[in-house]
Order: sequence, then structure tokens, then C-alpha cells
Amino acid sequence: MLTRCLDCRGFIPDDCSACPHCGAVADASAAAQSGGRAVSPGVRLLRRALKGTLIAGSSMVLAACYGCPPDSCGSLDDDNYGGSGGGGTDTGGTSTGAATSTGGALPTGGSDNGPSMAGEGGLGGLGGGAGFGGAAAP
Amino acid sequence: MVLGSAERLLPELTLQARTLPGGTERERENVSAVDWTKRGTRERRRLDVLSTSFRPAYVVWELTLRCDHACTHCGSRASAARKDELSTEEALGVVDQLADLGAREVVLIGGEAYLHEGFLEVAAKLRAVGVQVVMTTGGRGIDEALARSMAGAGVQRVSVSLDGVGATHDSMRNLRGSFETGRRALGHLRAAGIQVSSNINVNRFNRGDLEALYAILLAEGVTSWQIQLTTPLGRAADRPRMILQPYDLLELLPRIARLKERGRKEGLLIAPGNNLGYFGPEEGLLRSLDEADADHFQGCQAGRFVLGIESHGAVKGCPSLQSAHYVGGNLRQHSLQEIWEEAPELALMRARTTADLWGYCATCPFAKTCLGGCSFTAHALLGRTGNNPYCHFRARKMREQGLRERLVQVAAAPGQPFDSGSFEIVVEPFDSQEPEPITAGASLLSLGRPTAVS
Repeated sequence: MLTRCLDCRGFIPDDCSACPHCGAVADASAAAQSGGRAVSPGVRLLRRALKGTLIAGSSMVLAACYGCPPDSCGSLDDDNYGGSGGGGTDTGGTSTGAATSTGGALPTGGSDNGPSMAGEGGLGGLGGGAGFGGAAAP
Repeated sequence: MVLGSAERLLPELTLQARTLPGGTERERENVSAVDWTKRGTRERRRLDVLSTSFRPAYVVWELTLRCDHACTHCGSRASAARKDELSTEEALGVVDQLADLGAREVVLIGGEAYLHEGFLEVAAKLRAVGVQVVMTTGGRGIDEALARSMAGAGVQRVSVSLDGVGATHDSMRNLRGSFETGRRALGHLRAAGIQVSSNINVNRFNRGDLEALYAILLAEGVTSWQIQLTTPLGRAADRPRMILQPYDLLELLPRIARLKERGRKEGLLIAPGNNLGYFGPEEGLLRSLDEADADHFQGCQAGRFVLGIESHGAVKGCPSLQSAHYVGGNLRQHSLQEIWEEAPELALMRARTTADLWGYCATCPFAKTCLGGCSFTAHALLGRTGNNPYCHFRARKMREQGLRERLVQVAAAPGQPFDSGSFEIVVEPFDSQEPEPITAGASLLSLGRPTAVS
């Protein structure tokens, strides 16, 4: 479990007595009270909880590099979206019907209309890329 | 029983995998009864990841490897379809299995998912069984008609990949005009009633574009933006000069943090990819949905709550994991439940402890929380998981000592989808000269010749 530094807001592991980011003593008052004696992680956590810096977080937003970012965090944020199939009440039959009827809208894509390529050595849609350095890294 | 290479190498994990199933049958029934299309992001995507009731809540599914781009950094080296991709009928069967195992959100990808003949049917069925269906795309083929069809099929949100502004994006995507087609796709999707998001792979070529791209996305009505690092996977592994050096995070992370703060005020949620981090002073800001949250990275969730499916039925714990090492089975030979519960490749992260870490990560004060960061990124850099130099905390600590870590490629990737080579870490004085700076006139194509192992 992590706590949060009151000075820099960075996270502090439970077995660290000082913030690993800014060096602030995580339990300054407690350290003074204990006269410099070693304090167990459990005691440290309890003290930090009482100070309101305890993070009880066990949640994380799931992500993946080919995934889609989450959207705004309201509980109903998705309810107004999804087009005619929206609301979560659509049936497979209805939606699939739409898919079938509009199948012609799917682009042919792939190697038919994609950039010229012939396997891994064939990347060549932009040729030598002259003038395509773009906004290079600072 | 699912047999895989890792099972032979790591028999102990097989036992652990069996003892950590995805919950009882009753629990699965309850989970699958939820209509996730009606639940908001917070409930659907933000999970208690310390739970051991592992289930594939968030799934990224490559419907086809066929693509209308041939991007210079594509991890799957997409262009043509795989020879033996799942048919529409087979894919619809997979939808049922995903719902049974408690999938909450499925991201359809490719290649380009819309180039699979069953794309709309699969989307519609996902929606019908109560799974939120979203998509990540380059957007080139999304016109007004397709956007309407996607909305009709129940696609709720689409993330269009924009890897820079204008020519920067076009160069990375290896196609002149690609930026404009992607931008137009955002408009078509929004007009069809689909929420629009975006994502970017950040590297040394495009990192200068972040702020300008932010402004464009905001103007286009994009409501969330995933920022992740280009990892030397697939074609990006052929372009080692493209990727960031670990010390580049010292400049990059604070910039992204500033954008996140700005986005909170202006209505654009910035969400970090799993390979962007970790534990710098901005960690809480970056990782949290709301200002009141104090979320932070809690380890790779591959095979815990995340699942990846390749277009020919191969199943991995995360879509980006190296196929040669982490495929746990194929849906043509085994059920998804068998693979999820029995394949040791899927169980790797369920059993991970600090004992699996090495190098700097083994000594890090955040080791037991972070567990070495993103698995596929660590593997792509150093050939195995457990030590990840793409870490802001680590780069800051190195700088405090007057040092930095530089990655030097020592082995090229073989040229298969989701493959990687390997790098070694050179520790050097922080103010060392840059070996190969990328200039404004650089060509990603010439950078990418596989012989360019430095």
C-alpha cells in the first residue's frame, strides 16, 4: 500500500520512512515522538492513515497499447452513444441485419487500396520521405 | 490441457494457473449477466486489480491483420491478412465465450477491424450480449456510410490513431494524406453518434507534436486520448533510432502531466498507456480518472484482467505481448475458458512477485507495487520481463547520480508479427553526447532498414 507525500504529492511505499521523490520525512512528527526509534511499517501506515495521507487504492484503469482509452468518468457517460443500436437494448438480430444491409459500405482496403508494399522490405508509400521529417523531436 | 512452450519451461506456473481460476461457475454467470453497455467507464474499466478473481474484463481482439496502412512502427507488422484467420462464424462463437467469461469491454482492432468481412456482425453480437464494443483504427476507410453502420451495429466508442500532426503522422503511417483521412474519420464517427477518442505512440520522431496535436483533438471533439510509448516491437524494432531513450522521459512525462491538467479543465481526458510511467511525481495525476482519485500503476494486468486475441485465434494475456513467447493456446483447439484457466502463458502475471524482478527493478522501492512495469515493453527491450528501463522514477534516480541509461540494439527482430530484438543498457554520464540525433529531415523508412543495428 502506498501513501502520498504531503509536500510533493508523490507516492511513498509503505516501507519507506521518507519520500523517495523529494526526501521529505513521511512521519516527521511520529519520528520525533518516537525519539528516533525504528517504527514498523504497520505503525507507519496507521499513523499516515490518521494523518489522512493513506492511500487505500487497489483500483486501476485497465489499458492496453492497442486498446481504446477510457472516456470521461461519469457513470452514465456512454448512455447517449452508440447510434441507433444504442441504449444496450439492441438485439443481435436487429444489429446484424444492419450490418448485412450495409455490408457494401465496407472499404475494400488491404493491399487493394493500401500503400504500396511487398512484404517487410516493401514499405514504400512515401518513398524516400524527402520533406517528411515532420516536426522532429526537440 | 493447453500445451505451450512456457509450460515445458515453467511447470510450476501450470499448477499456479490452475489454482487461480476466473471464479466459480456461479460467479461467472453473475458476471456475464451484467449489461456492460449500460455501465460507465469508471465501473467498467476501473477495477480492483488486487482481487484474485481473474477474468478477461478488458479484451483487445485483432479481427484481421489486413490493413490499409503499413505503418513504420506497427507492432504486428500489419498489411495482408493472416492465412488462417477466424471466419465470421468462428468469431461469433468467440463472442459467446467472451461474454461467458465476464468480458466487459472488447476493443476491435486489426490491421483494420473493418476489413474483416464479419466486423459489423461481431460488433453487433458483442453489443447484444452486453459487452461494450469499441474500436481502435487508423480511420482511413471510415466514411459517412461505414460510421453509420458501425453505430447501427452498436459500436460505442472509436479511438482513431493520430501519431503527430500532418506530415509527422503521414511519415509514421507511411502514407501521404493519412492524417487528413484520420481526422475526417473522427468527424464521420461523431456525426454518427459514436464517441471519439484518439491515441498516439510517442517516440523521438513525433514527440515534438504533442501540444499541437492536443489542440487539434480538442477541436475535433475528442474526449479521451491515450498516450503510450513506441516500443521496439514489430516494425518499430526495425527502427531503433526512432524509440525514446529512457532519459527522454525526464522531459516527456512533465509535459504530458501539464497536458493532463489542461485536459481536465477543457474536457479531454488523457489516459496513459501501460508503458508510460512509472512513479514519478506526476503518477497520481496521470493514472487517475478524477482529481479526487489517487490511482497509480499496480503492475501488468496481462492475463489477470486483460486479454488479447490474434486474428487466427491465438490467445495472449495482452495484445502486444510477443507472440513467440506468450501465446497460451488457440481458439480452434481449445475453449477460451481452457486457455484462460490452464495456459501458463496466461498465468505469468498472476504469479509474479518481486522475486521475478532483476536489474534496477529488483532494487526499486516501488518493486512490489509496480512489478517491473509493462511486460511486453520490458521484453521488447531486454529480452525478458522484470526489468524495465522505460521508467520515470528510475531515470530521475539515475540523473540524481549524474547518470543516464542508453539503450543500444544488439539483436534485430526476425520480422514476424509482434516480434522484437533485444537491447543492452549502457550507463553513461548524464551529459553524454547524443549518438544519433534524429533531425527534421530524417526518413523513417531509411531509419528502418533491419541492418541498422547499432
